[in-house]
Amino acid sequence: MRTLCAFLFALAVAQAETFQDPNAAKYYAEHKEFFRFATPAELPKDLAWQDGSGQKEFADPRALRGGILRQFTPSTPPTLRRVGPNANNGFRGELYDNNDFGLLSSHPNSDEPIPALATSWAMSTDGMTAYFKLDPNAKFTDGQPITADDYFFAFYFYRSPWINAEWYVDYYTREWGGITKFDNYTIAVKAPRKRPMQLENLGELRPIPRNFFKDFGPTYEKTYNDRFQPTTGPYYVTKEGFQREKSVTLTRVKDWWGDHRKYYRYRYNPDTIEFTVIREIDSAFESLLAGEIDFMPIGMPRYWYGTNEKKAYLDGYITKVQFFNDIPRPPYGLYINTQRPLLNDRNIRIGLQHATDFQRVIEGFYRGDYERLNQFSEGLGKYTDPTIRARLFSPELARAAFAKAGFIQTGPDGILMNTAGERLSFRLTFDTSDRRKYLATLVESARRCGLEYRPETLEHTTMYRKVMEKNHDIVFWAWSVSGRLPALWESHHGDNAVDKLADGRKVPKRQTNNITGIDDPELSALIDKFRAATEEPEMIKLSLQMQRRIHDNADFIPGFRVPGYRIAHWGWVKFPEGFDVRSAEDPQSYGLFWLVPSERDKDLKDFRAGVVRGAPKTIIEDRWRTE
Amino acid sequence: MTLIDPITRRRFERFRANRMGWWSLITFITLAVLTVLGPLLVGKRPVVMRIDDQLRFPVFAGFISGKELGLRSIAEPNYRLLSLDLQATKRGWLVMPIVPFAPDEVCEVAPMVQRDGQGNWSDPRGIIAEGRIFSLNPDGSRRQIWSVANGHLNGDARLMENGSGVARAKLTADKVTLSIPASRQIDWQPRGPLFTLIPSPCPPGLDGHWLGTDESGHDMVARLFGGFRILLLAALIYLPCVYAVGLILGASMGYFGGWFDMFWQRAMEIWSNIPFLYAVIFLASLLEPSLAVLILILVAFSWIGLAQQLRASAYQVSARDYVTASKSLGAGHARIIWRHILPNCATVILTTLPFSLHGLVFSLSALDYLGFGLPPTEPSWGDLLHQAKENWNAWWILGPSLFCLVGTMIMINSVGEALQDAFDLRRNQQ
Repeated sequence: MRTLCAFLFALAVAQAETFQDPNAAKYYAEHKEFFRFATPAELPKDLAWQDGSGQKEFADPRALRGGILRQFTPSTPPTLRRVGPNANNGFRGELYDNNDFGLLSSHPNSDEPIPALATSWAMSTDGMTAYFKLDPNAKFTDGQPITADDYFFAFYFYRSPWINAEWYVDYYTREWGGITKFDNYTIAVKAPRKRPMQLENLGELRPIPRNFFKDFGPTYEKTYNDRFQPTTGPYYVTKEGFQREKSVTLTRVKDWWGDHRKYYRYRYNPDTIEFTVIREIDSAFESLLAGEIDFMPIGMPRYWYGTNEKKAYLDGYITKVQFFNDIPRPPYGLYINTQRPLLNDRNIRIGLQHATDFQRVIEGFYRGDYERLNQFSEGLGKYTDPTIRARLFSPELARAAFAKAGFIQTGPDGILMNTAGERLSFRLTFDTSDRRKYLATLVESARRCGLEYRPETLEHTTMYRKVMEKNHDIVFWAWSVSGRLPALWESHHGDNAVDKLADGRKVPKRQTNNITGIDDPELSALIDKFRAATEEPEMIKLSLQMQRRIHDNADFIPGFRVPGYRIAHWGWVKFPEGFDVRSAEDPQSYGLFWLVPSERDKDLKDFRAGVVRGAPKTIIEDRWRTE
Repeated sequence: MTLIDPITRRRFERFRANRMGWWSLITFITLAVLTVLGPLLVGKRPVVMRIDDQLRFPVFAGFISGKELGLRSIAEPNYRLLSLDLQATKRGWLVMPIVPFAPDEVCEVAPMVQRDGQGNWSDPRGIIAEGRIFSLNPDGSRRQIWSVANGHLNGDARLMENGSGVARAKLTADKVTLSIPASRQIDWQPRGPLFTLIPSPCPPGLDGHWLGTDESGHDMVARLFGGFRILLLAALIYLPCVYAVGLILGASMGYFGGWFDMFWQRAMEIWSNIPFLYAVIFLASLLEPSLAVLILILVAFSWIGLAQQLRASAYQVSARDYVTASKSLGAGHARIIWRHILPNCATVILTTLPFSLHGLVFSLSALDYLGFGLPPTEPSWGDLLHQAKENWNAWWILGPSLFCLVGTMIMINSVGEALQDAFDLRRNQQ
């Protein structure tokens, strides 16, 4: 009898309504022009519904589910929150960016839209509204079914001041025109203006789990600091899974909505992903060679070439893979804080461009494996200006530029000085990774041009905080790029450069991505026009103009571009036909690989016994190579 | 009349009798003198140069623009190359220091490559397992680059113009399988003098590097020399500072006694409980990590031991009769401390000096090894050990730097022990 009651009770609870935030309801009522509640009868009858089934599946049907993927992380993230202070850390990709979906997704090889949380869609004839039919089986990782209300909640969540993340407030206000609910599984999303790739933009909308955010309010930062936000992806973090400074463990959802969907099945195969904290990359490399880590990026020349003499590789257990992808390139290079004295002089910055010898770093440290990056926005196809070239290293041109800025006299130590006796000397900040080894080359080359770089190596988090506080002179940095359109508002708009205090003083704006502090009215105007543009030819023209302007401002010294990724993996990690897809930044981006645990046991046993498995293997996958 | 009083002479004789200590001191002083000569022995500027019938001394003059010497570029010329040029054009000659590399100079070792009978590309180390060979333009920039795997052309080839790649080819087993752009006819066969870059760290013997190069391409001998120089410089700042603080405080504590002594004793207790390494790391990350700042931080944590020893010594001396006599004659505190207390503590000062130096060398090297000391561009033995840890197969980094560090510490310790022997501190006071 008691068990029956318990069972009925559990059943009743399961069917209960998901939490409806009264504040959110009030918010919707206050913004009736954005949030519309309609009935199915009001759905237009003449819509041409598409389901994207014509695209080729890119996952491998041979994939097997199961196993523990062993990975590492240099440190656990300071917070598990998705947004807010410190949430923009390197670990966020594993938790959220690679583990979440919106209404639509993009086919990684063809770039065509494919269904995700929406099973079918239709565009209105005026190209301003997209209608979506949602997958009724889709659930968040905590089991909550995904309904139309979660999409409404997303706007309430991101626009609230409590998340303390201005970028999101701006994005969810400006880039969306409205949302309509017809029933629990049918919605329409309106665009703010006409623009190319309208469907893809509208399909980007992701739901926010209402149940989880029952306690959402002004205490968001603290309340949710160590709680994993449920996503629409296949992995989640339990309370025990997050052990600060020890490990983070992702657990696979047993019956994920994607397991029965074309484009999502045969993906995300490991049952568990364990990220153990290993602070030194060297130690992680040793763990890889001992079989404690299943695969690892070995882009650094020391590891890529160093593997050649390791037993695990020579005996045929580990395979080296160089995979060429076709994605926008992260702008690796030196970012100059233009709000510092002397660095606000464009002539000095031009001189710095000519005095920084990245070519020598590429040929020496990177052994010629990479190529010189030419500008901030590379790899965007027709949106990238191919005529913009990085300024070459030249002591003559550097000295000429410094002379224009008044630095003509050479001091006794070979460093230029101006009439006021100021030396041409700047702090160059790096983190403590292998990259700090370029410092010697850059410092020495600069010295030949009369410039002094004072090197500084900081622990990564310290460097991150220093740069976010805009306390740096010149820092080596890169932004990860997503999307095939230039997104320059965060990094180059004047609004993100300075804050005006009450007494009228201008101070650098902290915690924004504009780390060069560039406040150029012409560039800001171009960026605003670009965001408001609707036709592709105009957007291309503006994009080229913006890039030319950034090049002229010379606040970014382009470093190098990485044409793909390089990993080393053990034999029990299997990869699909073609190894990976065109848009993959790393194997975890699309999760196409799978593990064979039985092979792992055998491989390790044989390896430790000294059995030679085969000849050393290095594979070059250049199917998608463009440059 | 002897110039040196008999007690000192006897101490000197006892010191000399300790062979280990004596020779350590001689070696140390010799090395220190060599270090003072600095750029005359190790450096990239010639000691003397004759050009166009003008005698110049760049090592003293410092930076000389290339234009001044009749060259095309304004930048300082590479004197090693200039030497060959001067001989060829008969404009003069120059004499480089014995080790013609500066400690902070990044050297690229790019020897020529040969092709053997089987068609394998090899450099002075042997057949190229995985690397690149390239041809040069007259201005020294790279013209064409090929990837080599196991001695044969395998992988990418690139043609460069004005610093960027303008054409690319794919080669497999020395044959071209793809050439982009297809419209352009390019000869992808390697011709003419070809070179390869030996990745740093470079083994010894190439390009005149006696002990090879380190991870960033610095010559090892120059780096070791520079490291020793830094240690001596550090010692010159550290020792006076730490002794000044320790002496004055220690002697005062011993002399005044009472509440002054008690207050400072408590202060010293509290201060000595701060974990040294953590505090130094924390401070080094806050302030700009230059040598002077680092030394001052070390001084701030090292004066306690000294002060305590001096306090004990000063207490003893203060109890002596001549101090009481001076006081009754009306001598002021400062005069008593300066004239009576300190000279009698001299033995303590002198015998602890080497051990303070030992502590300094150890701390500085340890900090650099951990990465919290000087920036990696400064030569430092600790940094070399750090590099050795990351490059186990580069024995030319680990061996010499370990030898130098251990050797120096043994020398300093030997001198210290010999001094202790000489000053009789181990035997009973007579």
